[in-house]
Amino acid sequence: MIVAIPVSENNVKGTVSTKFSRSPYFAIVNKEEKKYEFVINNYIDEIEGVGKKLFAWLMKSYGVNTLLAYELGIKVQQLADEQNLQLIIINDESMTLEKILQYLGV
Amino acid sequence: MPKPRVLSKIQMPPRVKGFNPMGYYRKNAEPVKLSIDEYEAIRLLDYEGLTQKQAASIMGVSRPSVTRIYQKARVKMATMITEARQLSIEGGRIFFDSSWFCCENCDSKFNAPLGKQPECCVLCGANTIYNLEE
Ligand SMILES: [Zn+2]
Repeated sequence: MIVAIPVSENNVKGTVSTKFSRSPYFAIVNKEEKKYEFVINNYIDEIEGVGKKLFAWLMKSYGVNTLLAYELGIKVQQLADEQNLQLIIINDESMTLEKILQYLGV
Repeated sequence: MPKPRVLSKIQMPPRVKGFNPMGYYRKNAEPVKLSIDEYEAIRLLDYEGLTQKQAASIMGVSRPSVTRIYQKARVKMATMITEARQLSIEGGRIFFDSSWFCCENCDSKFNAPLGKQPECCVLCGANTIYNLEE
């Protein structure tokens, strides 16, 4: 399972960003290999088609098959459905990456 | 006789089962019941800013159906805030895009892509999960 998580900071104390596509960073977590890395969202300031570009980049560059978010935009949600991605929607916006990694056993 | 409305497709279950007014609320007043298709119409049209045509295509219903669902939803939302009523979000002629589950341990929701039924929570691994459609 390779999970993309939108995070407010590039460290484990950062919390999940409320808006998926406008998140400054993503944590890419590989559950089986127990590894994670931070990547910068280069599409954050784009005016149109952010969701689509971001989604394509996460899939192609990192082989993401799971999205974890507090809220997913409609475009990302549709793309995820088309690709049969695993979606995880958390109910607590103050959840830190540290806590998520703990849940995932990473 | 109007012909029966087709089921609306819902992408994701609503986050909560309802809302309570702050501070004051009328005792014994029936909560306003917003159905899940009405919630979805408000989300797609007002939160996501889609057109009625786009929302109709996502929900898999006709444009006039979306107009009707949305109209009802707006009246209910207005009643809720004007009369300070509780709001419950439940029911409706709907089906989910894929099965959705909720975990009692980490309070997250997750889907089951390709119809694979999960035995435990995909986030925390707990087996305290239940199907949101049941
Ligand atoms: Zn869980």
